[in-house]
Amino acid sequence: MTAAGRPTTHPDLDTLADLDAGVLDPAAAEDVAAHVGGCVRCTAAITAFDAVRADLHDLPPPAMPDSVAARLDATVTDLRRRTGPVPTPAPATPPAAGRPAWSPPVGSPPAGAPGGAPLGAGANQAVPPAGSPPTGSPPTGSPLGGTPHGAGASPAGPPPVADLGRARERRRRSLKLSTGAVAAALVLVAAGASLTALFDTANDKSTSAGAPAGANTLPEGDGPSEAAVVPAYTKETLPGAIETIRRTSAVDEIARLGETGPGGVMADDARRKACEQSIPRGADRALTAVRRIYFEGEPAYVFVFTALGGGGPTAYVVTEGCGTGALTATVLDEVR
Amino acid sequence: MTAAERPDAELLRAHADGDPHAFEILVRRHRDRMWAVALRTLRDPEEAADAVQDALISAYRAAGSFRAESAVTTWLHRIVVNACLDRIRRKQARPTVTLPEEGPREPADAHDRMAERDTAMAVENALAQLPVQQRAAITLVDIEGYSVADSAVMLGVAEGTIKSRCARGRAKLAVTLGHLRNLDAPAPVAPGSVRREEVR
Repeated sequence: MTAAGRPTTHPDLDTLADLDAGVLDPAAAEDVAAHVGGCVRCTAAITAFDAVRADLHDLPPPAMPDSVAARLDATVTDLRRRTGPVPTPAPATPPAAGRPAWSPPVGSPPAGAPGGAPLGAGANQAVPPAGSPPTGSPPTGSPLGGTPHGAGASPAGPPPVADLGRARERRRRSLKLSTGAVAAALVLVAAGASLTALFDTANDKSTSAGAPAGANTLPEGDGPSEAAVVPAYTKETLPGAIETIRRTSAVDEIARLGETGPGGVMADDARRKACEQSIPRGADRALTAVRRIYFEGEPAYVFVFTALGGGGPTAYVVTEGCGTGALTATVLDEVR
Repeated sequence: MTAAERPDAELLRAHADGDPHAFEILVRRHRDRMWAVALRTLRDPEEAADAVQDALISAYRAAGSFRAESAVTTWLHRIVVNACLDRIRRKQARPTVTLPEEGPREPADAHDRMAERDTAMAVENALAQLPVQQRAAITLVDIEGYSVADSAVMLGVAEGTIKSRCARGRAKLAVTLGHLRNLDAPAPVAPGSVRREEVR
Protein backbone atom coordinates (compact mmCIF):
# COMPACT_ATOMS: atom_id res chain seq x y z
CA MET A 1 0.00 0.00 0.00
CA THR A 2 1.56 3.26 -0.99
CA ALA A 3 1.83 6.11 1.38
CA ALA A 4 -1.64 6.21 2.77
CA GLY A 5 -1.97 9.33 4.79
CA ARG A 6 0.92 11.33 3.41
CA PRO A 7 -0.56 14.32 1.69
CA THR A 8 1.94 14.43 -1.14
CA THR A 9 1.54 10.85 -2.31
CA HIS A 10 -1.71 9.25 -3.30
CA PRO A 11 -2.97 5.87 -2.16
CA ASP A 12 -3.13 3.41 -5.00
CA LEU A 13 -6.40 2.62 -6.68
CA ASP A 14 -6.93 -0.66 -4.88
CA THR A 15 -6.50 1.05 -1.54
CA LEU A 16 -9.03 3.67 -2.49
CA ALA A 17 -11.39 0.94 -3.57
CA ASP A 18 -10.82 -0.81 -0.26
CA LEU A 19 -11.68 2.36 1.58
CA ASP A 20 -14.80 2.74 -0.49
CA ALA A 21 -15.83 -0.85 0.16
CA GLY A 22 -15.17 -0.69 3.89
CA VAL A 23 -12.33 -3.17 3.82
CA LEU A 24 -9.66 -1.10 5.54
CA ASP A 25 -9.15 -1.34 9.25
CA PRO A 26 -10.29 1.75 11.15
CA ALA A 27 -6.85 3.31 11.51
CA ALA A 28 -5.94 2.90 7.86
CA ALA A 29 -9.39 4.01 6.81
CA GLU A 30 -9.03 7.17 8.78
CA ASP A 31 -5.67 7.96 7.21
CA VAL A 32 -6.81 7.33 3.69
CA ALA A 33 -10.08 9.15 4.16
CA ALA A 34 -8.24 12.13 5.54
CA HIS A 35 -6.15 12.22 2.40
CA VAL A 36 -9.12 11.77 0.11
CA GLY A 37 -10.98 14.57 1.81
CA GLY A 38 -8.33 17.02 0.73
CA CYS A 39 -7.47 15.55 -2.63
CA VAL A 40 -9.33 16.21 -5.84
CA ARG A 41 -7.73 13.35 -7.66
CA CYS A 42 -8.56 10.73 -5.09
CA THR A 43 -12.03 12.08 -4.57
CA ALA A 44 -12.48 11.61 -8.28
CA ALA A 45 -11.50 7.98 -7.83
CA ILE A 46 -14.12 7.45 -5.18
CA THR A 47 -16.63 9.10 -7.47
CA ALA A 48 -15.53 6.75 -10.20
CA PHE A 49 -16.45 3.80 -8.01
CA ASP A 50 -19.89 5.28 -7.56
CA ALA A 51 -20.15 5.52 -11.33
CA VAL A 52 -19.11 1.90 -11.67
CA ARG A 53 -21.75 0.82 -9.20
CA ALA A 54 -24.33 2.86 -11.05
CA ASP A 55 -23.32 1.26 -14.34
CA LEU A 56 -23.64 -2.17 -12.82
CA HIS A 57 -26.90 -1.40 -11.12
CA ASP A 58 -28.38 -0.14 -14.36
CA LEU A 59 -27.44 -3.16 -16.39
CA PRO A 60 -30.50 -4.64 -18.01
CA PRO A 61 -30.85 -8.34 -17.27
CA PRO A 62 -29.90 -10.44 -20.25
CA ALA A 63 -33.02 -12.07 -21.63
CA MET A 64 -33.07 -15.80 -21.48
CA PRO A 65 -32.97 -17.15 -25.02
CA ASP A 66 -36.09 -19.00 -26.06
CA SER A 67 -34.13 -22.15 -26.64
CA VAL A 68 -32.87 -22.12 -23.08
CA ALA A 69 -36.34 -21.37 -21.75
CA ALA A 70 -37.73 -24.28 -23.70
CA ARG A 71 -35.01 -26.52 -22.41
CA LEU A 72 -35.75 -25.56 -18.82
CA ASP A 73 -39.46 -26.11 -19.35
CA ALA A 74 -38.67 -29.55 -20.67
CA THR A 75 -36.47 -30.23 -17.67
CA VAL A 76 -39.20 -29.32 -15.22
CA THR A 77 -41.74 -31.37 -17.15
CA ASP A 78 -39.36 -34.27 -17.17
CA LEU A 79 -38.75 -34.00 -13.44
CA ARG A 80 -42.44 -34.00 -12.77
CA ARG A 81 -43.07 -36.91 -15.05
CA ARG A 82 -40.19 -39.01 -13.80
CA THR A 83 -40.99 -38.56 -10.18
CA GLY A 84 -44.54 -39.69 -10.74
CA PRO A 85 -47.89 -38.63 -9.35
CA VAL A 86 -48.38 -36.48 -6.32
CA PRO A 87 -48.67 -38.66 -3.23
CA THR A 88 -51.70 -38.46 -1.00
CA PRO A 89 -50.57 -37.76 2.50
CA ALA A 90 -51.49 -40.60 4.83
CA PRO A 91 -51.49 -40.29 8.60
CA ALA A 92 -50.10 -43.73 9.27
CA THR A 93 -48.24 -45.98 6.99
CA PRO A 94 -47.43 -49.55 7.86
CA PRO A 95 -43.70 -50.03 7.82
CA ALA A 96 -42.35 -51.79 4.84
CA ALA A 97 -39.39 -54.02 5.26
CA GLY A 98 -36.12 -52.30 4.94
CA ARG A 99 -37.06 -49.18 3.06
CA PRO A 100 -36.82 -46.07 5.10
CA ALA A 101 -38.81 -43.20 3.71
CA TRP A 102 -37.06 -40.51 1.87
CA SER A 103 -37.01 -37.60 4.12
CA PRO A 104 -36.20 -34.15 2.96
CA PRO A 105 -33.31 -32.62 4.77
CA VAL A 106 -34.49 -30.73 7.76
CA GLY A 107 -32.74 -28.62 10.24
CA SER A 108 -29.96 -28.23 7.79
CA PRO A 109 -27.61 -25.45 8.67
CA PRO A 110 -26.37 -23.07 6.03
CA ALA A 111 -22.81 -23.10 4.81
CA GLY A 112 -20.38 -23.37 7.62
CA ALA A 113 -22.20 -25.74 9.86
CA PRO A 114 -21.69 -25.20 13.55
CA GLY A 115 -18.59 -26.94 14.71
CA GLY A 116 -18.85 -30.63 14.92
CA ALA A 117 -22.52 -30.90 14.08
CA PRO A 118 -22.87 -33.28 11.20
CA LEU A 119 -25.74 -32.48 8.90
CA GLY A 120 -26.79 -36.06 8.86
CA ALA A 121 -27.56 -35.96 12.53
CA GLY A 122 -29.93 -33.11 11.97
CA ALA A 123 -31.71 -35.00 9.29
CA ASN A 124 -32.01 -38.13 11.29
CA GLN A 125 -33.48 -36.92 14.47
CA ALA A 126 -37.15 -37.19 15.03
CA VAL A 127 -38.09 -34.64 12.51
CA PRO A 128 -39.03 -31.49 14.29
CA PRO A 129 -41.80 -29.61 12.57
CA ALA A 130 -39.77 -26.46 12.95
CA GLY A 131 -37.18 -27.91 10.71
CA SER A 132 -39.49 -28.64 7.89
CA PRO A 133 -41.74 -26.36 5.93
CA PRO A 134 -44.47 -25.59 8.42
CA THR A 135 -47.36 -27.29 6.76
CA GLY A 136 -48.79 -28.00 10.14
CA SER A 137 -48.96 -31.72 10.01
CA PRO A 138 -46.25 -33.09 7.84
CA PRO A 139 -47.71 -36.17 6.28
CA THR A 140 -45.93 -39.28 7.28
CA GLY A 141 -47.00 -41.20 4.27
CA SER A 142 -44.47 -41.99 1.72
CA PRO A 143 -45.45 -43.27 -1.63
CA LEU A 144 -43.12 -46.14 -1.02
CA GLY A 145 -45.13 -47.21 1.93
CA GLY A 146 -41.82 -47.00 3.66
CA THR A 147 -41.18 -46.65 7.30
CA PRO A 148 -41.33 -43.09 8.40
CA HIS A 149 -37.82 -42.81 9.40
CA GLY A 150 -37.11 -42.50 13.02
CA ALA A 151 -39.73 -45.19 13.37
CA GLY A 152 -42.83 -44.66 15.30
CA ALA A 153 -43.78 -41.31 16.60
CA SER A 154 -41.75 -39.13 14.36
CA PRO A 155 -43.27 -38.01 11.14
CA ALA A 156 -40.93 -38.22 8.23
CA GLY A 157 -41.57 -34.67 7.25
CA PRO A 158 -43.30 -33.46 4.17
CA PRO A 159 -43.35 -36.13 1.51
CA PRO A 160 -41.28 -35.81 -1.58
CA VAL A 161 -42.97 -34.39 -4.55
CA ALA A 162 -43.89 -37.66 -6.09
CA ASP A 163 -43.51 -41.38 -6.13
CA LEU A 164 -40.05 -42.02 -4.92
CA GLY A 165 -39.92 -45.69 -5.66
CA ARG A 166 -39.47 -45.22 -9.35
CA ALA A 167 -37.37 -42.17 -8.84
CA ARG A 168 -35.16 -44.02 -6.43
CA GLU A 169 -34.53 -46.81 -8.86
CA ARG A 170 -33.88 -44.39 -11.61
CA ARG A 171 -31.48 -42.42 -9.53
CA ARG A 172 -29.70 -45.51 -8.34
CA ARG A 173 -29.18 -46.62 -11.91
CA SER A 174 -28.30 -43.23 -13.20
CA LEU A 175 -26.23 -42.20 -10.26
CA LYS A 176 -22.94 -43.45 -11.49
CA LEU A 177 -23.51 -42.22 -14.98
CA SER A 178 -24.92 -38.84 -14.44
CA THR A 179 -22.50 -36.11 -13.56
CA GLY A 180 -25.48 -33.87 -13.82
CA ALA A 181 -27.01 -35.63 -10.88
CA VAL A 182 -23.83 -35.33 -8.93
CA ALA A 183 -23.55 -31.70 -9.82
CA ALA A 184 -27.14 -31.20 -8.81
CA ALA A 185 -26.49 -32.95 -5.55
CA LEU A 186 -23.47 -30.87 -4.84
CA VAL A 187 -25.42 -27.77 -5.57
CA LEU A 188 -28.18 -29.06 -3.37
CA VAL A 189 -25.83 -29.43 -0.49
CA ALA A 190 -24.40 -26.04 -1.12
CA ALA A 191 -27.90 -24.71 -0.83
CA GLY A 192 -27.93 -25.84 2.75
CA ALA A 193 -29.61 -29.14 2.29
CA SER A 194 -28.32 -32.47 3.39
CA LEU A 195 -26.93 -34.51 0.59
CA THR A 196 -27.99 -37.61 2.39
CA ALA A 197 -31.60 -37.03 1.59
CA LEU A 198 -31.02 -36.77 -2.10
CA PHE A 199 -29.16 -39.98 -2.70
CA ASP A 200 -30.76 -43.09 -1.42
CA THR A 201 -27.76 -45.05 -0.34
CA ALA A 202 -26.32 -42.15 1.51
CA ASN A 203 -29.69 -41.45 3.02
CA ASP A 204 -30.02 -45.03 4.11
CA LYS A 205 -26.74 -44.79 5.88
CA SER A 206 -27.53 -41.62 7.66
CA THR A 207 -30.92 -42.96 8.53
CA SER A 208 -29.47 -46.04 10.07
CA ALA A 209 -26.91 -44.02 11.90
CA GLY A 210 -29.42 -41.77 13.54
CA ALA A 211 -32.54 -43.83 13.91
CA PRO A 212 -33.31 -45.85 17.01
CA ALA A 213 -31.93 -49.34 16.84
CA GLY A 214 -34.15 -51.69 14.93
CA ALA A 215 -36.27 -48.93 13.50
CA ASN A 216 -35.08 -49.39 9.97
CA THR A 217 -33.42 -52.18 8.20
CA LEU A 218 -30.50 -50.89 6.26
CA PRO A 219 -30.64 -52.24 2.76
CA GLU A 220 -27.44 -53.14 1.05
CA GLY A 221 -25.87 -49.91 0.11
CA ASP A 222 -23.20 -49.51 -2.43
CA GLY A 223 -20.81 -47.78 -0.12
CA PRO A 224 -18.72 -48.94 2.79
CA SER A 225 -20.92 -50.48 5.42
CA GLU A 226 -18.28 -50.00 8.07
CA ALA A 227 -18.81 -46.29 7.96
CA ALA A 228 -17.64 -46.07 11.54
CA VAL A 229 -14.10 -47.16 10.72
CA VAL A 230 -11.84 -44.17 10.83
CA PRO A 231 -8.22 -44.87 10.03
CA ALA A 232 -5.58 -43.56 12.33
CA TYR A 233 -2.31 -42.13 11.13
CA THR A 234 0.76 -40.52 12.53
CA LYS A 235 3.12 -38.09 10.96
CA GLU A 236 5.22 -41.05 9.90
CA THR A 237 2.48 -43.22 8.47
CA LEU A 238 0.32 -40.65 6.72
CA PRO A 239 2.52 -39.93 3.68
CA GLY A 240 2.41 -43.55 2.59
CA ALA A 241 -1.38 -43.57 2.80
CA ILE A 242 -2.06 -40.50 0.73
CA GLU A 243 -2.31 -42.37 -2.53
CA THR A 244 -4.81 -44.83 -1.10
CA ILE A 245 -6.83 -42.01 0.37
CA ARG A 246 -6.79 -40.25 -2.94
CA ARG A 247 -8.19 -43.30 -4.65
CA THR A 248 -10.77 -44.30 -2.09
CA SER A 249 -12.02 -40.98 -0.82
CA ALA A 250 -12.53 -38.98 -3.98
CA VAL A 251 -14.59 -35.87 -3.45
CA ASP A 252 -17.50 -36.97 -5.61
CA GLU A 253 -17.63 -40.30 -3.84
CA ILE A 254 -17.51 -39.01 -0.30
CA ALA A 255 -20.10 -36.42 -1.13
CA ARG A 256 -22.36 -39.15 -2.40
CA LEU A 257 -21.83 -41.42 0.60
CA GLY A 258 -22.86 -38.85 3.16
CA GLU A 259 -21.63 -38.02 6.57
CA THR A 260 -21.32 -41.57 7.78
CA GLY A 261 -19.04 -42.33 4.87
CA PRO A 262 -15.31 -41.83 4.66
CA GLY A 263 -15.63 -38.11 4.25
CA GLY A 264 -17.45 -37.55 7.51
CA VAL A 265 -19.03 -34.13 7.80
CA MET A 266 -17.02 -33.06 4.78
CA ALA A 267 -19.54 -34.92 2.68
CA ASP A 268 -21.49 -31.74 3.06
CA ASP A 269 -20.58 -29.58 0.12
CA ALA A 270 -20.83 -26.26 1.89
CA ARG A 271 -18.80 -27.40 4.86
CA ARG A 272 -16.16 -28.95 2.70
CA LYS A 273 -15.84 -25.87 0.56
CA ALA A 274 -15.64 -23.62 3.57
CA CYS A 275 -12.85 -25.74 4.94
CA GLU A 276 -11.12 -26.03 1.60
CA GLN A 277 -11.08 -22.30 1.16
CA SER A 278 -9.59 -21.79 4.58
CA ILE A 279 -6.61 -24.00 3.84
CA PRO A 280 -3.62 -22.00 2.67
CA ARG A 281 -2.48 -23.71 -0.46
CA GLY A 282 -1.58 -22.75 -3.99
CA ALA A 283 -4.31 -21.49 -6.24
CA ASP A 284 -3.44 -24.01 -8.90
CA ARG A 285 -4.54 -26.95 -6.83
CA ALA A 286 -7.80 -28.80 -7.07
CA LEU A 287 -9.32 -30.74 -4.23
CA THR A 288 -9.56 -34.38 -5.16
CA ALA A 289 -10.11 -36.32 -1.97
CA VAL A 290 -11.14 -35.88 1.64
CA ARG A 291 -10.92 -38.47 4.38
CA ARG A 292 -11.94 -38.44 7.96
CA ILE A 293 -9.02 -39.75 10.02
CA TYR A 294 -7.35 -39.77 13.36
CA PHE A 295 -4.07 -37.98 13.23
CA GLU A 296 -1.70 -38.47 16.10
CA GLY A 297 -4.68 -39.56 18.13
CA GLU A 298 -6.75 -36.53 17.28
CA PRO A 299 -9.87 -36.56 15.11
CA ALA A 300 -9.07 -34.73 11.92
CA TYR A 301 -9.62 -34.54 8.18
CA VAL A 302 -7.09 -34.90 5.46
CA PHE A 303 -7.65 -32.85 2.32
CA VAL A 304 -5.79 -34.05 -0.71
CA PHE A 305 -5.11 -31.62 -3.53
CA THR A 306 -3.61 -32.26 -6.90
CA ALA A 307 -1.67 -29.65 -8.78
CA LEU A 308 -3.23 -28.70 -12.05
CA GLY A 309 0.09 -28.51 -13.77
CA GLY A 310 1.15 -31.99 -12.80
CA GLY A 311 3.24 -33.29 -9.97
CA GLY A 312 2.17 -35.27 -7.01
CA PRO A 313 -0.64 -34.62 -4.59
CA THR A 314 -0.36 -32.35 -1.61
CA ALA A 315 -2.29 -33.21 1.51
CA TYR A 316 -3.24 -31.11 4.50
CA VAL A 317 -4.44 -32.44 7.80
CA VAL A 318 -6.90 -30.10 9.42
CA THR A 319 -8.78 -30.13 12.68
CA GLU A 320 -12.35 -31.30 13.05
CA GLY A 321 -13.71 -27.81 13.19
CA CYS A 322 -12.40 -26.86 9.79
CA GLY A 323 -14.99 -25.08 7.76
CA THR A 324 -16.97 -23.75 10.67
CA GLY A 325 -15.97 -20.15 10.30
CA ALA A 326 -12.27 -19.63 10.85
CA LEU A 327 -10.74 -17.78 7.94
CA THR A 328 -7.63 -19.90 8.16
CA ALA A 329 -7.73 -23.57 8.98
CA THR A 330 -5.56 -25.06 11.67
CA VAL A 331 -3.25 -27.28 9.68
CA LEU A 332 -1.84 -30.12 11.72
CA ASP A 333 0.35 -31.52 9.00
CA GLU A 334 1.24 -31.06 5.40
CA VAL A 335 2.37 -33.85 3.11
CA ARG A 336 4.03 -33.14 -0.19
CA MET B 1 -55.76 -16.98 -6.16
CA THR B 2 -53.94 -16.39 -9.38
CA ALA B 3 -50.40 -17.45 -9.97
CA ALA B 4 -49.22 -13.88 -9.84
CA GLU B 5 -50.48 -13.45 -6.30
CA ARG B 6 -48.91 -16.40 -4.58
CA PRO B 7 -45.74 -15.47 -2.74
CA ASP B 8 -42.53 -17.34 -3.53
CA ALA B 9 -42.31 -19.12 -0.22
CA GLU B 10 -45.83 -20.37 -0.55
CA LEU B 11 -45.17 -21.70 -4.02
CA LEU B 12 -42.06 -23.48 -2.88
CA ARG B 13 -43.88 -25.03 0.03
CA ALA B 14 -46.74 -26.05 -2.23
CA HIS B 15 -44.25 -27.71 -4.50
CA ALA B 16 -42.65 -29.55 -1.60
CA ASP B 17 -46.10 -30.68 -0.57
CA GLY B 18 -46.81 -32.07 -3.99
CA ASP B 19 -48.46 -29.31 -5.97
CA PRO B 20 -47.54 -30.27 -9.54
CA HIS B 21 -47.62 -26.76 -10.95
CA ALA B 22 -46.14 -24.60 -8.24
CA PHE B 23 -42.55 -25.12 -9.26
CA GLU B 24 -43.17 -24.08 -12.83
CA ILE B 25 -44.73 -20.84 -11.68
CA LEU B 26 -41.77 -20.16 -9.45
CA VAL B 27 -39.32 -20.86 -12.24
CA ARG B 28 -41.04 -18.59 -14.70
CA ARG B 29 -41.03 -15.86 -12.18
CA HIS B 30 -37.30 -16.02 -11.46
CA ARG B 31 -35.56 -17.68 -14.31
CA ASP B 32 -34.42 -14.49 -15.97
CA ARG B 33 -32.51 -13.47 -12.89
CA MET B 34 -31.08 -16.94 -12.52
CA TRP B 35 -30.04 -16.76 -16.14
CA ALA B 36 -28.45 -13.35 -15.61
CA VAL B 37 -26.37 -14.58 -12.71
CA ALA B 38 -25.30 -17.72 -14.54
CA LEU B 39 -24.48 -15.96 -17.78
CA ARG B 40 -22.46 -13.25 -16.12
CA THR B 41 -20.59 -15.70 -13.95
CA LEU B 42 -19.81 -18.19 -16.68
CA ARG B 43 -19.81 -15.83 -19.68
CA ASP B 44 -20.79 -18.63 -22.00
CA PRO B 45 -24.47 -19.19 -22.83
CA GLU B 46 -24.14 -22.95 -23.18
CA GLU B 47 -22.39 -23.27 -19.86
CA ALA B 48 -24.92 -20.94 -18.29
CA ALA B 49 -27.80 -23.00 -19.67
CA ASP B 50 -26.29 -26.16 -18.22
CA ALA B 51 -25.74 -24.48 -14.87
CA VAL B 52 -29.28 -23.15 -14.66
CA GLN B 53 -30.62 -26.55 -15.57
CA ASP B 54 -28.53 -28.18 -12.86
CA ALA B 55 -29.71 -25.55 -10.45
CA LEU B 56 -33.35 -26.11 -11.28
CA ILE B 57 -33.02 -29.82 -10.79
CA SER B 58 -31.45 -29.25 -7.40
CA ALA B 59 -34.03 -26.68 -6.42
CA TYR B 60 -36.82 -28.98 -7.51
CA ARG B 61 -35.59 -31.70 -5.22
CA ALA B 62 -34.41 -29.55 -2.36
CA ALA B 63 -37.59 -27.57 -1.93
CA GLY B 64 -38.35 -29.36 1.29
CA SER B 65 -35.17 -28.00 2.81
CA PHE B 66 -35.93 -24.38 2.21
CA ARG B 67 -36.05 -22.46 5.42
CA ALA B 68 -37.92 -19.22 5.40
CA GLU B 69 -35.05 -17.37 7.06
CA SER B 70 -33.95 -16.22 3.65
CA ALA B 71 -35.90 -15.20 0.63
CA VAL B 72 -36.64 -17.83 -1.97
CA THR B 73 -34.74 -15.74 -4.49
CA THR B 74 -31.64 -15.80 -2.31
CA TRP B 75 -31.99 -19.55 -1.99
CA LEU B 76 -32.40 -19.97 -5.73
CA HIS B 77 -29.53 -17.67 -6.52
CA ARG B 78 -27.30 -19.52 -4.16
CA ILE B 79 -28.09 -22.76 -5.91
CA VAL B 80 -27.34 -21.16 -9.27
CA VAL B 81 -24.10 -19.58 -8.09
CA ASN B 82 -22.90 -22.86 -6.70
CA ALA B 83 -23.85 -24.68 -9.88
CA CYS B 84 -21.72 -22.15 -11.76
CA LEU B 85 -18.76 -22.36 -9.44
CA ASP B 86 -18.91 -26.15 -9.50
CA ARG B 87 -18.73 -26.12 -13.27
CA ILE B 88 -15.75 -23.83 -13.17
CA ARG B 89 -13.94 -25.88 -10.57
CA ARG B 90 -14.54 -29.10 -12.43
CA LYS B 91 -13.22 -27.59 -15.60
CA GLN B 92 -10.18 -26.27 -13.81
CA ALA B 93 -9.44 -29.70 -12.48
CA ARG B 94 -9.35 -31.08 -15.98
CA PRO B 95 -7.12 -28.68 -17.84
CA THR B 96 -7.72 -30.33 -21.16
CA VAL B 97 -11.16 -28.79 -21.22
CA THR B 98 -11.07 -25.27 -22.60
CA LEU B 99 -12.67 -22.56 -20.58
CA PRO B 100 -14.56 -19.85 -22.38
CA GLU B 101 -12.10 -17.28 -23.58
CA GLU B 102 -11.33 -14.32 -21.46
CA GLY B 103 -11.76 -10.94 -22.93
CA PRO B 104 -14.38 -8.89 -24.66
CA ARG B 105 -16.09 -9.51 -27.90
CA GLU B 106 -14.45 -7.03 -30.21
CA PRO B 107 -16.91 -4.86 -32.12
CA ALA B 108 -16.75 -4.91 -35.87
CA ASP B 109 -15.65 -1.37 -36.52
CA ALA B 110 -14.75 1.90 -34.93
CA HIS B 111 -18.29 3.20 -35.05
CA ASP B 112 -19.54 0.15 -33.21
CA ARG B 113 -16.76 0.54 -30.74
CA MET B 114 -17.80 4.04 -29.92
CA ALA B 115 -21.44 3.11 -29.65
CA GLU B 116 -20.49 0.17 -27.51
CA ARG B 117 -18.80 2.33 -24.98
CA ASP B 118 -22.01 4.04 -24.19
CA THR B 119 -24.08 0.95 -23.84
CA ALA B 120 -24.56 -1.84 -21.41
CA MET B 121 -22.43 -4.04 -23.62
CA ALA B 122 -19.33 -2.17 -22.60
CA VAL B 123 -20.14 -2.86 -18.98
CA GLU B 124 -20.91 -6.52 -19.66
CA ASN B 125 -17.66 -6.90 -21.56
CA ALA B 126 -15.70 -5.22 -18.83
CA LEU B 127 -17.36 -7.48 -16.29
CA ALA B 128 -16.45 -10.50 -18.34
CA GLN B 129 -12.79 -9.57 -18.13
CA LEU B 130 -12.71 -9.73 -14.37
CA PRO B 131 -11.35 -12.77 -12.58
CA VAL B 132 -14.27 -15.05 -11.80
CA GLN B 133 -14.23 -14.53 -8.04
CA GLN B 134 -14.44 -10.76 -8.42
CA ARG B 135 -17.03 -11.11 -11.13
CA ALA B 136 -19.18 -13.41 -9.00
CA ALA B 137 -19.02 -11.07 -6.01
CA ILE B 138 -19.83 -7.99 -8.07
CA THR B 139 -22.65 -9.76 -9.85
CA LEU B 140 -24.33 -10.57 -6.58
CA VAL B 141 -23.66 -7.31 -4.72
CA ASP B 142 -23.64 -4.60 -7.36
CA ILE B 143 -25.89 -6.07 -10.01
CA GLU B 144 -28.33 -8.32 -8.22
CA GLY B 145 -28.35 -6.12 -5.13
CA TYR B 146 -27.71 -8.75 -2.51
CA SER B 147 -26.25 -7.67 0.80
CA VAL B 148 -22.64 -8.42 1.55
CA ALA B 149 -23.85 -10.85 4.20
CA ASP B 150 -26.11 -12.78 1.84
CA SER B 151 -23.49 -12.77 -0.88
CA ALA B 152 -20.94 -14.15 1.55
CA VAL B 153 -23.24 -17.03 2.36
CA MET B 154 -23.99 -17.66 -1.28
CA LEU B 155 -20.36 -17.78 -2.25
CA GLY B 156 -19.23 -19.58 0.88
CA VAL B 157 -16.69 -16.98 1.91
CA ALA B 158 -16.25 -14.39 4.63
CA GLU B 159 -17.92 -11.00 4.33
CA GLY B 160 -14.55 -9.30 4.23
CA THR B 161 -13.65 -11.44 1.26
CA ILE B 162 -16.76 -10.31 -0.56
CA LYS B 163 -15.97 -6.67 0.13
CA SER B 164 -12.39 -7.12 -0.96
CA ARG B 165 -13.32 -8.87 -4.18
CA CYS B 166 -15.89 -6.18 -4.95
CA ALA B 167 -13.33 -3.49 -4.27
CA ARG B 168 -10.76 -5.05 -6.58
CA GLY B 169 -13.31 -5.63 -9.28
CA ARG B 170 -14.70 -2.13 -9.08
CA ALA B 171 -11.22 -0.69 -9.29
CA LYS B 172 -10.59 -2.64 -12.48
CA LEU B 173 -13.93 -1.69 -13.91
CA ALA B 174 -13.35 1.96 -13.10
CA VAL B 175 -10.30 1.81 -15.31
CA THR B 176 -11.76 -0.35 -18.06
CA LEU B 177 -14.89 1.73 -18.32
CA GLY B 178 -12.94 4.92 -18.48
CA HIS B 179 -14.19 6.50 -15.31
CA LEU B 180 -10.64 7.24 -14.25
CA ARG B 181 -9.29 9.14 -17.12
CA ASN B 182 -6.73 11.17 -15.31
CA LEU B 183 -5.55 8.94 -12.53
CA ASP B 184 -2.25 7.15 -12.49
CA ALA B 185 -2.15 3.49 -13.40
CA PRO B 186 -3.78 1.21 -10.87
CA ALA B 187 -2.05 -1.55 -8.98
CA PRO B 188 -0.72 -4.34 -11.22
CA VAL B 189 -3.43 -6.62 -12.48
CA ALA B 190 -3.34 -10.06 -14.02
CA PRO B 191 -2.20 -10.03 -17.64
CA GLY B 192 -5.00 -9.63 -20.08
CA SER B 193 -7.56 -9.08 -17.44
CA VAL B 194 -7.94 -5.35 -17.89
CA ARG B 195 -7.97 -3.49 -21.12
CA ARG B 196 -6.92 0.04 -20.33
CA GLU B 197 -8.75 2.47 -22.49
CA GLU B 198 -8.69 6.21 -22.33
CA VAL B 199 -12.23 7.03 -23.23
CA ARG B 200 -13.91 10.09 -21.91
